[in-house]
Order: sequence, then structure tokens, then C-alpha cells
Amino acid sequence: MIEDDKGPGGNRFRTASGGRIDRSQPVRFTFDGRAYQGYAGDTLASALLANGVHLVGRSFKYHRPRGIVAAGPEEPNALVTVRRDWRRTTPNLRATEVEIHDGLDAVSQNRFPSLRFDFGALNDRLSPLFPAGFYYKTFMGPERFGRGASGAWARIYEPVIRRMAGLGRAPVDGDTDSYASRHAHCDVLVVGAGPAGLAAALAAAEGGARVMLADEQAEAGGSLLGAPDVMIGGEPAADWREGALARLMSFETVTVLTRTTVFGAYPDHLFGLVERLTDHLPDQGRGVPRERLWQVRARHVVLATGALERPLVFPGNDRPGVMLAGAAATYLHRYGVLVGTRSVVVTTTDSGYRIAADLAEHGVRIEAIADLRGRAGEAAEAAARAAGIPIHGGVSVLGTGGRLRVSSIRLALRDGRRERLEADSVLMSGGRSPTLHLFSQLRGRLVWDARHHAFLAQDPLGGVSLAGAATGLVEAPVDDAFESGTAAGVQALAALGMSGVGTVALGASMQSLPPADSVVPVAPVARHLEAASFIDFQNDVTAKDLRLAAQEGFRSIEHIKRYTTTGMATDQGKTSNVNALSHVSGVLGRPVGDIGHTTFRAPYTPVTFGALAAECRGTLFDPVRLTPIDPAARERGAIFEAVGPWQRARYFPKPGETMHQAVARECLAVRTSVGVFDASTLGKIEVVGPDAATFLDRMYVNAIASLPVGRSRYAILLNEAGFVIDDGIVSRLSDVRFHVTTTTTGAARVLAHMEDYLQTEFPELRCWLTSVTEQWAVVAVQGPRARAVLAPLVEDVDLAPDVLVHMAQTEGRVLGVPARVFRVSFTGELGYEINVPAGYGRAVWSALLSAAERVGGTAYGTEAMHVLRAEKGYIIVGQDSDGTLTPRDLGLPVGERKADFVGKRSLSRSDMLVTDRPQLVGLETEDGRVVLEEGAQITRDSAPAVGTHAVGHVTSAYHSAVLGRSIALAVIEGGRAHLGETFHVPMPSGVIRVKVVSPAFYDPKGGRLHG
Amino acid sequence: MLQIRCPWCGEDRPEIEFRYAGEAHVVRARLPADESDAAWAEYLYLRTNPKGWHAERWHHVHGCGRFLNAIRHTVTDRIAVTYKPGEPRPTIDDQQGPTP
Amino acid sequence: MAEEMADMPEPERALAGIAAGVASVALIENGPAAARIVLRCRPDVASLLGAASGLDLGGRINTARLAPGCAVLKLGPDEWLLIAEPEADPWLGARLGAAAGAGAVSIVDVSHARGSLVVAGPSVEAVLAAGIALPLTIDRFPVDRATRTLLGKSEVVLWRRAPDRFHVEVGRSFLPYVAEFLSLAIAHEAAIAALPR
Repeated sequence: MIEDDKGPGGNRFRTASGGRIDRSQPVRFTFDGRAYQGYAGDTLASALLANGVHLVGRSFKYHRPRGIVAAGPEEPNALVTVRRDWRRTTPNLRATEVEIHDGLDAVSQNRFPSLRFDFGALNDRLSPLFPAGFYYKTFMGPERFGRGASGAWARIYEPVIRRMAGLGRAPVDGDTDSYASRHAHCDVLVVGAGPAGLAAALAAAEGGARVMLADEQAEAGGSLLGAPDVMIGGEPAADWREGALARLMSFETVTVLTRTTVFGAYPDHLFGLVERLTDHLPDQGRGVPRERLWQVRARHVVLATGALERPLVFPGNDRPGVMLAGAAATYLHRYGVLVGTRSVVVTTTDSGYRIAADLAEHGVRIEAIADLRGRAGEAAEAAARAAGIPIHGGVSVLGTGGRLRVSSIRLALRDGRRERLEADSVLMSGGRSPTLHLFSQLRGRLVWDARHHAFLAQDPLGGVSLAGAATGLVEAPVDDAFESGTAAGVQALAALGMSGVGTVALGASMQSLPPADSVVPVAPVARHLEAASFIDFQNDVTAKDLRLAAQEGFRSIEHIKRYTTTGMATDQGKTSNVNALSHVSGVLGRPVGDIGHTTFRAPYTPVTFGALAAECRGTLFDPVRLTPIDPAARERGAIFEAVGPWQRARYFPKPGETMHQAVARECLAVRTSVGVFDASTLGKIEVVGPDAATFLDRMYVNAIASLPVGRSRYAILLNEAGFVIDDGIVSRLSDVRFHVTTTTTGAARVLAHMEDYLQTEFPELRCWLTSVTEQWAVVAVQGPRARAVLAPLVEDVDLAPDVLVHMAQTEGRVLGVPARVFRVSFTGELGYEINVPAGYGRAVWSALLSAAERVGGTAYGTEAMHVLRAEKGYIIVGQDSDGTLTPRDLGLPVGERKADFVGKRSLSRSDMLVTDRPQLVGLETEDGRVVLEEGAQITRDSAPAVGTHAVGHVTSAYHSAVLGRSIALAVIEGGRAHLGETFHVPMPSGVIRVKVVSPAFYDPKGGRLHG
Repeated sequence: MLQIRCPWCGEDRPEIEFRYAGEAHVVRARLPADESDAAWAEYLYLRTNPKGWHAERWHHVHGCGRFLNAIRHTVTDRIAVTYKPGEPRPTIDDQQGPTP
Repeated sequence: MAEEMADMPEPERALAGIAAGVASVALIENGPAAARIVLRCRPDVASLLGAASGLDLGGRINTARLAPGCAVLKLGPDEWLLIAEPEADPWLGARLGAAAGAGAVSIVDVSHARGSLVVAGPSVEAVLAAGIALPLTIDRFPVDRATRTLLGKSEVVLWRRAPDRFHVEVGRSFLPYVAEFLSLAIAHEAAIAALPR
């Protein structure tokens, strides 16, 4: 082994010159723990190949040794995990896309203990046992393990299989990288910055369009980056590329994004892009975004997405060292890397000949061109002959040799002879498929084109132009790509009503035909060789698997895909789809075009969850809403709970108190003295206008039109189906002004519901709804001493019991602050709700609490609030009701005297009048120490048989301090007819006996309200 | 994410500003009490659910706050036209696009 | 006044002490203290009301107009958000109320319901575009355009005051979220700008 300053391997396969790498900048990295050296500009794949490393992974199912196949995003085999640290670890990256940097730490996947010696490879010996659908057929029993989540599959087989047959592993801990996002709008989005894309972007920009140009590679240029000898318009391609880029950058209206994949096309021309910002760099430290998600709305899109080369299907085509011919050319010209020194080119295209001659010229010994077709184009053949390359036409491949790297290939020649050739690399040239993933996602139709042996875009699609190889110009001279790109740019301008400066006729690109370099369909593989002939490398699907699926009756390509897994996983069949279709076509005896293709789904290449989440993580995952009183409650040691988006104080424990003790103390204080509560989260709507009363009268069950100024009413809101959706207090501030409250979590919903009726059903009514939820901080002061606490602190407010009566309201000042004072109670005690402008909320709450504490009062939280209201049988919409209960079911008024309101008609539907509808009742456990579980089912029988219909369920259950026992609310079918009867609540620990009672447990006559 | 032309704002706005609000042109009876159970049940629960052009309501809740109607194709998701509540439903010619 | 009555407390600003950002990208500051009124009425009433109050209630939807001491943001076909100097609170309401008379008008004080942030700097469009899906380039979102929209997961009213300066109105309880979102977006922009090219 060579161990020199260039590390193991020593860049032995690096050419003396050439390529776009920077030979003055060596880069050190590790792969599977071994140190290697590459150069700035290398990908992990090119650097490994330069060091003679082909073996980079083990296959998904059979753990066969696998090598680098491609040079781009279509790579099916070379999946690696890259680690910055234990939290920043990314599996399943394609080595062909990973740019190396100093310190890059990459490891191979799906092997144990090592790549060269892998226990899982036993699967390969047993491969006859693993046919298509093997997992589905085999891992079914035994029944005694049960089914579903507890069955044998979930408990035994799946974990083992997942460990054996898997791709990389996701890190367990949270990702500490950060991710950015950006919305953008442009006239023309050009996808792909090869010659066609650059030309399109230039043409559109020259015409005045706002242009975004995105390319997944590190540099713009596409195929030009690996084509040093190509000329464009008489200029060397590299010079033209520089010039085109400089010109583009000079437009303020142009954005060029490299390392940016357009991964998805969404409705109305929204495109998802992910820009890789720092993966190619040494660690940039905390807070520097790793990736940026772009959501681009484009008026027009130019797809200059190129084409992907196809492998060929023959036995042993998956051995490391067997790779795409075009990739070999890319490694040579872009990275200065020879993928081998002795190669055999297996081809069905003329470009295979050209690549062979090209490689030969750069010192690779081409042992032979093995053409699976009968004959090649004359020019191609002449070029190869001139390079002295032996040519075998009409051959078939019998197999390849070598263990961890190909060492030979066996051919059956046209004349029947067999030949074995030594080779350290076998290069496949199977033609290219236009990359039409985005076109297909845009709902463009693809049609099979036998001449190209590929799917092509069929019809023009509004707002979409194709350019370059994506149109099917797959082997065309670069001038054609350039021309087609210019045409696409001009076409985009025309579609946008802008005029271009280009002169290329519209649609030229769509009509251009490919040159004579015809592609023949995949040569059929002899039946007995199908088992070793791989079609989908990533999923280990062979020609035999596809035949088996067809023989077992699968006809739809979508079903065959699911049964065999061909075309699944991270590469989504980029290299395998057409070969799979061709093979299935052969087996079924139906043309490929009739079989169709599987759906192209976003993303084009995998996208990290981090990029999709972008800023929306941690505290920015969802807004957390705090009331104006929040800081004061925190100072008082409150424990909080989430209520919708709000954080609400749940209880205020004194030192040493449990929650139970704190809640009991708070409840008793309200019953015996006074409690102070932050009710600011209640939704509030101000309804103003001459028709406000009429409108609210139509919205609520209760009579609002007759509500006098200065009075409030408890009001229930139904949907049109008659079900309770919210409740609150409606207060009349003046003839034309109402203050309406909603539940905390119903605020936005209720506002939208009311707007809907106001705008679309009752547009003649002159009133308007304004949310004032955040305008007012609300402090509830509840308890027999509430008036005493308030009295010294108010101005212009007459608290006299016969003036500010229960359900009356007034405006005045509290602590000098302008306030709306409502005498309302959700506790059953004498109570007030003081509304002050939010900025004063904290001060007013604190002052009221201090005043309350002087008379033995306390702050209370949502938990005590829940207990206090349950003691009174007051419902909480959404807890005691669930969107299927009418006001009658809940024992509430049903507005019989009103002609109409939303939901009224539904209350008289026959279903609503049956007697066994669920009804709200109270429950008392026989043993008052037992608190029921909310959600528990209720039965008539004490020992119900399995399958017995539950007659109801518990909706609220608490320990009541003032009653000294547990209480519960429940809905029970026809419940009010069963008052006093015993029902049962079966629980895992035993059956609990309960008595049905009225839901008003405490002060049922309500005398305390009027104190 | 769709782009929806708000007929009140007079411009295209992103779908996230809107909330879907069910089928359009389902009119509440002036006097629901006079409706038969069958007619009322139809009003409450029966919707056209077409494969093709569908008249539906959207609420520009995070924009101008107004409700609007849209003719959307349930297969392609394309919105042919939007208009204000109370305006008649435009007919859509599949080939020609919307006609007023 | 009762004996125990304290002096009226100072109102708390919706959000205090946010001054963040990177000068080369954008800075976030608290918006000025303001009185705010939501005005609703039909167009025919609006023209009468405008004439009587001296406020310009005409103009296109989603634009802002400036009057002495008061900005008028037309956010809906029948909805205006008035943002005024804090001392304008009493006179503005009174003036509008008088102008409205017994007419069909809704005037609601929302001064405390919202707060505002001012975001300004050379990359302010990019910063806002991290969370706002609307086009923000000056040709499509010119000065004095004002509209309700979403920033991340919070509703905001976005008002362009100058080519490089935006006023962002936010519901009181959403202010910390919006401020944090924008601070992060600024930090990201600055970090990306500093990456080696």
C-alpha cells in the first residue's frame, strides 16, 4: 500500500493536469476512518476514485459490494453518512454530490462490521430465498403473537429486518444546525445552469425579466464543466461560461443560486428550492445556516434540467468498477480522475464509442467496445477504430468477475465465441433520459418515444418551456443546447408579454430532432442470467424480480413498483425506471408506452427536515401567547398550562403545597372570601352598528334584541346543524355597541363564523365586528368579599347590590384606569370581571390581588376555575360538549320564543327530539374519595360483557373542597330521566359505582350569585 | 400553495392567507322554520362534490377579511375565476376558460 | 376618590427593549407609541365621514395615507386602521364620533391590542421575506402600501414607510414571536452574507 503525503491511495488515478479542481489546494478528509487527500473542487466520489477506491457501500437487501456508478444526483449506490458531530449527522448523502473540505468525515452504510467484510453479505448467498415480495410472503405468522402493532411482524421481524436491510441511520438527538428560509418572486425561473439554462437566463434577463437561475452543482455550467474541448459560437466553452455568468451577474434583476436543487413544483408555479450553504465548508460554527429553503413563485419556468444516463442490464452489472460511461468522462474532464486503467465499454449508443476514444486518448486502455446493438454509426465506429479500440458488435454480456471490484467481463460474441476480458472498469452507455421530474409534477404529460427510448414531454404546458437535453436533445452538439435555451428564454418573454432581443424562432427547440445516434431498447437478458442482472441498484431489484412480479399477475407499473420496490428509496429510480419499464414491457409483451411510468413525486432529491422547518423550531415553532398579566403571575410562582396557543396560570402553590392542596385552598378562598383570576385570554368581540342587536339576535340562541343597555346575558352559539360551538357573555354597552366574549380557544373561530353570516347571509345588516381580545386585560374578582375588595378602588362605578346587579355592567375607573366592569360569575359567587386596557392589566391585577389578600383572598388559576364552575354545573364548551350536543342536551335554553337564529331549525329535526340523546348530568361516586377519570366510559351493568354499548362518558371530574367529595359531569343517553339511579364506570382497577345527579352540585338555587 | 386572486383586494395572494369555507351558492332559507325536514337536511348536509369545476367559498381571513367565491377545478386545482359573494356563478368553458 | 386609590399606573408598552439586528442587514426597533382605532363603515358613509373628520378615507385598498398626526391604513373594502400619536387618542375618537353622528359607523379603540416594530436596513426585504409570502420588491410593494398578511405563523399588518423601512403592526401577544423571528432572520442573512464565496 502506498502511504505518502497524499494518504493511502496517493491520488494514483489523478491525471497529470486538467479538470476544474484546484491542485494548489489539497484537502484532507476521512472515509470510514481512513485519511485521504483530494483537492478543492473534488466531490467525495471523485476524490475516492482518484485514490483508487471504488467500493463505497453495501447493497440494501443482499449486502452486495457496490461502487460509484454515476457522477451526479442519480447515484444509486454511493450513499454515505457525513458527520460533523453526533447531532449533526446526515445519512444517505450521495458521494457524487458531497463536496470535500478539510476535516470532512464520511462513512459508508449498511455494513457490519466493515465494508470489506460484511456479515450481511450472507444474504447474497441466500438470494434465491429473497424473491420479490419475499417479506410480504414470509413474515406473516405465527398468529399467537397477534396482529398489527403487537404482532410478530412488528415485534420480531421488522426490527431485525430494519437493522439488516436499511439505508443510513438518522441521528437520535436534535439537530443543532440552523436553517433559513426565503420567499421569492420572479418572472422566469430557470432550472439548470448548463449551456441551455445559461442561454435561457441570458435571453430572459436581456428582455428585462426578473430571473432566478438555480443549479444543484457547486458551479454553474452543467455539462460545460466537463467538456474542455467544446466550442460555443466559436468560443471555448469555459470562456463562454465565464462570460455568460458575468453578464448575468451584471443584471440587478438576476439571482443565480448554485448548490441549489429545485426539488418540487407546486400549484400555481410555486417551486421548492433548497440551497446548501455550508456543507461544502469546514464547520462555520453555531448559528450559520446550513441550508436555505426557497419558496419561489415564478410566472414562467424554463426547465433546462438535462438528461440522466441509463445503465445497462447484464449479469454482474452491479460490481464496483462497473459504472456509467458518461460519468467516467465527467470524472476525467471535470476532476482529472481516471476511473480505471483498463476498461471495457458496453454500449447501446454511439456516444459510448466517442467516450471510449476520448478515454483512450487520455491513457486508458480500452480493451474493447462491446456493442449490444448490431451496428453503430459510421463516424463513431471510425473514431474508435482510429483510436485502435477493438469493437465487438451484437454481443451479449455473460457476466463480470471480481469480488470487491470488477476484474473481468465475459462476452458472448456474435459468432458464438465467448471471450473473457480483463478490466478494472466496465463502462455502460445505455442512452440518456431527459430529466422531466418537474415537468411531470407540473402535470405535464410524458409520452414514450421509441426512437429516443425515453419519455419525452408531450404537449406544451402553460408557463413552462423546456430547453436543452430535457427536450430530448440528449446527444446533440452544445450549440443546439445553447440555441434551444435562447429560444426558451425568448418564449418565456413572449409568454409574459415582454419582448426579447433574441432572434431564435419560437419553438425551435421543441422541434429539433436528435442526431442519428439512435438508441436501441435494452438488450434482453437471457432468462437464466436475470437473477444476477440488476435493474434497481439501490433496492437490489433484479430482472428476475420484475419477471416474477409480472408472472404473479401484477400488470400496473405502480403495483409492480410497490411489490418489487423498484424505483423507490432515495434515488426514486433515476437510473432504473426506464430499464424496469423496458424489462416489464418485454415480459408482458406490451409496448413500453402502454405500460406508462410511475408518478414523479417531489422531492427530486432528498431534502432535510431541517430545511423544511427552517426558522420554525424551538420557541418559533408556534407562537406562544402570554397575557399582559403573565409576568406578575410568574412573580407569584404560578404554574402554567397551555390552553390553545396561550400560557395560562394553572395554580399558585404556596411553598410546600402540592397542586391538589393549592387548588383546594384557592377554591375555598373563592367560596369563603375572594379570589383574583386572570381571564384575559377570553375572546372578545366588539359588535357595533345600528343593526348590531338584530345581528346578535340571529346569531345566539338567547334573546339579545331585548337586552337593555347596561345588561349582560349568557349566550350560546350554535352552528347551523344545531350543535353548541361556543358560549360567552353578550353585554350591551349602548343601543348600537355590544361587548361579546367567547371561549379562549374559540375566539378566532367564532369571529370567522360571525363574519361568514354577516358578509354572506345577512349582508344587509349594518354592523361590524372588531376583535378586542388583546385590547382588554380581564381580572375576575370572585367571592363573597369581592365587592368589599373593589369598592375602595373604583371611581364612577356604583357597586351597590341593587344597582350593579348580577349580569349588569358599567363603565368607570378602577385604580384610575378606564375600565369596563361586568358583574358576572363563572364561579357561582358574587363576582366581577374588570376589563382594563391591556397595558394596565399587570398593575391592576397586582393591586386587586393585594387588596384581596388583605381580606384573606388569593390568586387562583385555571384549575380552581374549572373546579368552581363544575361545582355549579357550568359547562366548558369543548370539554363537556364535543360538537355533537344541542343546547337541550346540555340542559340549556333552546330559544323557543325566537322566530329564528342560526341552528334553530335544526333543533326541531326528528333526530334532535328523541329521548335517548346524550344529556349532561352530574355523577357522584359512591365513595366520595374516588375521582373519576375524564373520558371514562359509563355502563348500566356492573360487569358488562365485552362489546357492551357504553351509554355515556365522563366529561369533567374533580375533587371538590367545599363539598368534601369528588364530583363529575358526564353525558349519558337520556340521562336526565335517570336521576338518582346507579350506573357503572368500569376501569382497569375495577368497576366504580356512580349515582346520577343534577349537575348543579353547589348552591343549586344560585342565591350566592346575588349576594 | 395556491395563488388566489382576491376580488376585493384585486390581486393574487398566497393561499396561506385564506381559509376554505365550503361550497358556494348554498343559500340559507329566508324562513328556515318553513323548510321541510328533507329540504333542511339537504341544505345542511348535501353538497355537489363534483369532479371538475366547483364553486366554493374562501375567506381572506389574513388579508382583507372578506369572503369570496372561486371556481376551482377539483382535479387540477386550477382556479378559473374568483368573484364576490352575491354575484352570479360564472360558467366555465373547459377549453376557453371562464366566460362571464 | 376613595382613600386607598393609588395613582393611575403607567401603561406598559406592548413590548419594550427590542433593539436588535445587524446594521449591514437590518435593525429592529419598537414602533412609536400610538393610539389605534379600527374604523368600519360602508363607502358612502366613508366619504361623508372623511369630509367631516378631515381624514382621507378614499384611496385604494391596501394602501396607507398620511394626515397630520394620523396615518390611515385601508385594510379592507370597509375597514381602516387609524394609527395616531398617542395624544390623539381622545380627539381622534371624539372627532370621528362627532363626524359619525348617529350614522352607521363602527369606531373601536384597539390602542392596547397591538404593538409595532420598525424594521429597517439595506436587506430589509430579504429579512421580511423569510416569513412573508407576498412579493416585497419596491415595484410590487411600493412605499405606503399596507396590508394584512402572515409573517411566519403570526398575522401582521405590513406597511412600507420607505424603500428600506417597514412598519409591522402585530397583535400584542404575538409581538415576542415576531420580534424573535425577525431577529433570527437578520442573524441568518448576516451569516449568509459573511460566508466565503
